[in-house]
Amino acid sequence: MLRYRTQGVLAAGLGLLITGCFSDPDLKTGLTPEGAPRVLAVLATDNNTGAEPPAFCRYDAAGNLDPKGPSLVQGFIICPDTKAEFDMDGPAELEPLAWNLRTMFDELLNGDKVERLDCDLDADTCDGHIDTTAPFDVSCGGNTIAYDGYYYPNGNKESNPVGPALILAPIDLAPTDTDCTFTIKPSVVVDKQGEAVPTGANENVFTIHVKQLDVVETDPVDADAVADRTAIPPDGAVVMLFNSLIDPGSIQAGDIEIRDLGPTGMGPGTVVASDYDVVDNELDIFGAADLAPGNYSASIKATSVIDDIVGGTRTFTDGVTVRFVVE
Amino acid sequence: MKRIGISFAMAVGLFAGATIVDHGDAIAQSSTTGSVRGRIVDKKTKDAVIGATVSVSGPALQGQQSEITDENGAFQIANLPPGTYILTVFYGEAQFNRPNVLIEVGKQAFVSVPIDTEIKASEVIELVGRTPLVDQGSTKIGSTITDEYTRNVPTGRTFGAVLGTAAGTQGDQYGVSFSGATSVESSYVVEGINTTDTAFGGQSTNLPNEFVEETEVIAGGYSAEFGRSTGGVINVVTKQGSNKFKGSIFAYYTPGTLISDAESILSQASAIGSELNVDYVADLGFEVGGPIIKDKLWFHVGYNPSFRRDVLDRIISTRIDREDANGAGIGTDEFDACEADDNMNGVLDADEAIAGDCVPDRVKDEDGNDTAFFDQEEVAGARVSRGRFRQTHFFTGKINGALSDNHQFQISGFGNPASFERDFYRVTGAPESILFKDGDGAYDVALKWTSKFNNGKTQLDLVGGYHLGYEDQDPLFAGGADRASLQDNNTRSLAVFKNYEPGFDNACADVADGNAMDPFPGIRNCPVVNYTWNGLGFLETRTNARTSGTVALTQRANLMGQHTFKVGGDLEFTTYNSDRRLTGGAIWQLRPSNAAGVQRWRRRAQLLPDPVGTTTGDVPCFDLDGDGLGDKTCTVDPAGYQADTTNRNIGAYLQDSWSIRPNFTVNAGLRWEKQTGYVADDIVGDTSPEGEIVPETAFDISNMIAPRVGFVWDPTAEGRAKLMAHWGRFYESVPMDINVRAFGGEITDFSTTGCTALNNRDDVTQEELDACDTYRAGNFQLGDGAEFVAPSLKGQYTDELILGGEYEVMADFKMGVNFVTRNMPRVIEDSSTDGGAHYLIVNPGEDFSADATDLRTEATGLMTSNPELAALLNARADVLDKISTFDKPIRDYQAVQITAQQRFAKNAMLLASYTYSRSVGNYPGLFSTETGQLDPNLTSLYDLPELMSNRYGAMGLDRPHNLKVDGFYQFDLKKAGILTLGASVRGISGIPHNTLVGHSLYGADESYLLPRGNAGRSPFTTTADVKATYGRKIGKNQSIELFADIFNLFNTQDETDADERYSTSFADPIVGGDLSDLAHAKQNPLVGITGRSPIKNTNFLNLSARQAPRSLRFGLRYSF
Repeated sequence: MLRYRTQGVLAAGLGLLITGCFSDPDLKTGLTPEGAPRVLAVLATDNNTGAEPPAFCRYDAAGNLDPKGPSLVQGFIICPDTKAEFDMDGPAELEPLAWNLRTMFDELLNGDKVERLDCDLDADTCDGHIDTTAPFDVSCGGNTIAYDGYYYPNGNKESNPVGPALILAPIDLAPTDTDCTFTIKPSVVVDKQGEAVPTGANENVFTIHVKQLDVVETDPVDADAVADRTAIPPDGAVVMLFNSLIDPGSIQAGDIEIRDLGPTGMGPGTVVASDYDVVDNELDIFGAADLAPGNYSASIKATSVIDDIVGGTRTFTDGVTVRFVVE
Repeated sequence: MKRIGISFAMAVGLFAGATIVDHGDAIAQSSTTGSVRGRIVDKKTKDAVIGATVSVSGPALQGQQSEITDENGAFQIANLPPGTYILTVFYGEAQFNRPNVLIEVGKQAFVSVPIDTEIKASEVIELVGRTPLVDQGSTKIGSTITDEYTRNVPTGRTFGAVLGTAAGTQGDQYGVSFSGATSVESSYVVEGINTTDTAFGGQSTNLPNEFVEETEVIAGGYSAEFGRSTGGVINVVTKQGSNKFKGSIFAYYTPGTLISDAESILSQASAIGSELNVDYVADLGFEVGGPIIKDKLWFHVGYNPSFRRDVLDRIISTRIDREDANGAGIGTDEFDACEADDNMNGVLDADEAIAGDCVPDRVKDEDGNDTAFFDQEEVAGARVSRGRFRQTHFFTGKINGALSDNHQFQISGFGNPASFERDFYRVTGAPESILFKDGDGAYDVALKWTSKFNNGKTQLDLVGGYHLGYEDQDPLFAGGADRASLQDNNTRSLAVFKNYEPGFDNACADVADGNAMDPFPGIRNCPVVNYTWNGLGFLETRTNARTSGTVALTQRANLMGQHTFKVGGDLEFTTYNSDRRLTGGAIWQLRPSNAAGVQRWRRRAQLLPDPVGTTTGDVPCFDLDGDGLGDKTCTVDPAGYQADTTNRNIGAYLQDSWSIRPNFTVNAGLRWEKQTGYVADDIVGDTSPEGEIVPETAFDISNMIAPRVGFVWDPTAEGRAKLMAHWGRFYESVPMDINVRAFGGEITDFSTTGCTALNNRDDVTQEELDACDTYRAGNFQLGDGAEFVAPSLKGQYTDELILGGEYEVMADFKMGVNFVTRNMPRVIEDSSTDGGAHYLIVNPGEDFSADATDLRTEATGLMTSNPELAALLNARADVLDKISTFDKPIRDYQAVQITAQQRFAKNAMLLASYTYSRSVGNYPGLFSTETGQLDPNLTSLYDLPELMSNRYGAMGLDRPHNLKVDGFYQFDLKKAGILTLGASVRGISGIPHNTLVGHSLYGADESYLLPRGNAGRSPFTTTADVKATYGRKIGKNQSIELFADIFNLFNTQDETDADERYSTSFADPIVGGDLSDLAHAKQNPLVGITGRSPIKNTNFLNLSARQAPRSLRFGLRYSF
């Protein structure tokens, strides 16, 4: 009896050893193929800089980042470890003229369903597209936004960029200072077992704000000290670059001006010109005639209202001023 | 455990007292000898015979060794060189002789001798019997290779070539793997000294079989006296002299004309292929031993020069088209119209290239259908044959001396210096610029002293040794040392490199892509990838030495059973002196173009930091403020760097073999090891750019406690069977490659050019690249001369459990079953969690937060006085805090082994095993089984968190079925002599394959697009070797043997490996993906084209290696 019991224990132990050692471990680098595909993070890519700040990160009820969520990637924090930290920074906004959206999932998707491949057999490569599979409904300020993009099955929370993800690249311009709603279609976005993305806010619906219309760069740059101001030629122009395409018709007479700030350069000075030109997102301010040597400022006057071309609007409460020198 | 603790305490007490006089019965064997134990019983009553004198003598032993039986009639005699002995029992006035007691290295024979105690007269009684085959002394698993085996079984010429006989072993890129461990984790002991290569951990010393008495291949289950191995232990004992002059003269010859042609290995991705054929292999040697003073002083010497010449054929193939648009010409050698020289002018004119018709043929499958692969044909006149010549001079010399039966010594020296001239350093490269020569080998000296005291119950063993290994790589072609290596990582047409290809006009000139005469527009006719030209690249000259000493004291005692206590220690001073350089000071790689089509050349070079306080260098380096830009300056050092490094290893152990009953023994032991590594001499005391003084000590791993426990139970109580279990922990001895690479001054600079003048140029020269200095804006470094080691770094180890049993089912034939499981819970690697800004030597996956806290405290104190150093310490602390986020290392190996062995008896010998095993995990060991990177504890594994993605799966050494059958049979032809027929059969599963792509920072094959092992595996391969030996006596003590070996009798040249490179593009892993995901894989958009798939390697998973062809070897041996 003892012998049989011993043999039984040995056999059971051996079985446990074999099955125990070969069971798949829970790897930190792994994904979560069990269950429905869930969005771990939505990153608002700034195409100008390549930065991908988070517009959404998934936290648990205690406010801790999902263990599969992107935290430290190649030395940079993507999602803070706690929701409190995320809230302190606030969700990222979309750069109106240069945004993509990276929607990171916790498992691989059915690529054939979500992506169309355009292949060049001679080059042994394929380009991915989601324009026809249309995994999203995108609406910004009431406008439906056309888009393309691709499915990026590569990556995890450790990789740069993170993945797996759907990359959405807008074709249409989104109005500035509006909310965009991204709705992931459960009929298209399914995992490899066929389970659809769950529905609901922050499950398949995400709302991300588009930055307000703003001047993001000027040439020359403004400077307080007269000695630091940049000289331009007498027939030169002050260039203001906006972060979206601006509607020239929204600029009213008198909104734009060039002032002669006098010998001290400290103004307020007198208006000497109000000529401008608008091309896409660029506002050029110049004089009708050559400017005489001296100290000047070029301004969008305070309280001016400027619209983008798709209905976004901005009241420049404090105006925008660039001070410069003509030699 | 409590019982074990008691026995340890007793052991310590016994040694402290050193006055035990007991009727003990066991002494453990030392590593170069074996032992015998047994019982003397009354033939009629079966009672123990107490007080009988038992002596053993034999040709391998100087004098004799004796023992008096205890109250159980038991005896044990240790320190017996391997050989056949006569055991003599003296009782009363009678003498009983029991011949044919076989002693093997590291084994304990069990002999039970029944005697007639009633005989009173002075008679000599000759007994008949045999020694049971089952080793009763230990839980070791493995095999012992004897002279009989190597003489009669078809096998390689050296002991290194027979290691694969043990169950569960298999070959890998650098040697023989044991139980799922990489080969460089094993320990190679020859004549009791550690001869393992100090740099990389592999085999360094090798000797021909004629110089070897026995090779014990220990695959697992070894006791505490063995350390510094997480693989197996190879224990080699060379031949020694005796009281008679004995020796042999031998010669072997393998003619190339009798070797079958090697089948070509062609690649869909490369027009350049190769065939390696043996021209000849020959060696001639002698070994002789005998007495200098009979019974007191013996000698043995041997010399065996060995020569091998191979011919490597470099082949260029092009895609072909034998069928016309209507399908005519299939199966013939006729070329269709598009390739016809209609004008009969000897060249293919533009109007003769008809694009519409010209579609390359496809390789047909078994059913005659087209596959996806283009058919290729060797281009006539483009084959280049070059010789490779290697000569090795094996030698051995040994003196055995006996001051008395109880005090014996041994001095031996041996080595295997070799030189190797290769006309091809690599195949895929300009053939004229790759002549190469290197020398390698080893020299060893071993000293051994053994003394017995207290009637043999106390034994002292002292061993000292010196091992010197070396390798000298030397370019032979003019300018090879001065020119930088240029590499094109893109897929190109070979026509691009026509200036470097002699005879190119015969190859692909007329089919150059884009050429008006291009017969296959739209495809690359002669594709080539990773083409290399100009210089050789990395070269090294190194020496690796080990001075070692061991001491062991063995004491037998009777305390609630019979104990054999053994306490010992060992000390090693090792060196690795390396002179390493990049020829021409750099390696230039042309990387895949970016989206704008801009070619990018990446330069790899060794940097020399400027002295502190100066900025004379021309390369920015050392990003102190973390902004991604270098804040100091360095200078490119074309001379490379010299690193002279040392290590100190200390080990001690205490073990007890406790025979609670005569047939039940518990083995328990505890081993302690400490390893201290030192920084290269040249940089000790230097001040880093942050103001940190480079310390003398690189790492200090203490408290490596390795317990071992097991038992052996003989249910037959006659030595014919055993059931056993063993559990042990085994620590790695960190090879010194890490000293040179991480603590030797290596600062590798990577910079990428943006010289627009070089865009779309295929003929870039080194001078143009050197002149292009825009790389300065985008360089980064790997390594900072001396890497930081986490203060609480712990040793790398494996745990092993063995359950098994053996049974001698008939005389001289035993069978066994073993279950073996091994894992590797902790490893040492260099890691970074900040994108490669700071690499630290750590245990990945473990918690280093305490170290991080200490560093931050130290940083706080430096914030004012040295803010740059404070920032560095804080950065290291940040990395340490995140080390626990790495996946823990996993290497799980489980095996069931079935073994069968018949020792040489009844004219036959058999050694057979079948192993079913699985090996899964994310950490292969001390080298990467996929890329071959041999940088122990410094591989690219764990360098960055993302590099570990998809690493879990079937390991590169996961080969589930492994069958081995070796044996021979002797036919006694009476006066005509003896004919021996031997055979060796192997069958083994193929290796699992991976889907590898490039990593943006680490380059080719460093990213696992799919999980490890998910791309199928190579087929099961078999091979059969046979041997016939005819021997005849030609005098009283002389004989001659003629023999012939046929290796790979059936000339199977099946696939043994496949091309695992899915793409050279940079891409991140598809974590947990499968083949269905591959179509959607994308290049990494940060370094590739957004939304585009990796450029697929058309040769992916095609055969890349195959079995060696059939060969025939002749030989003769004259023995005297």
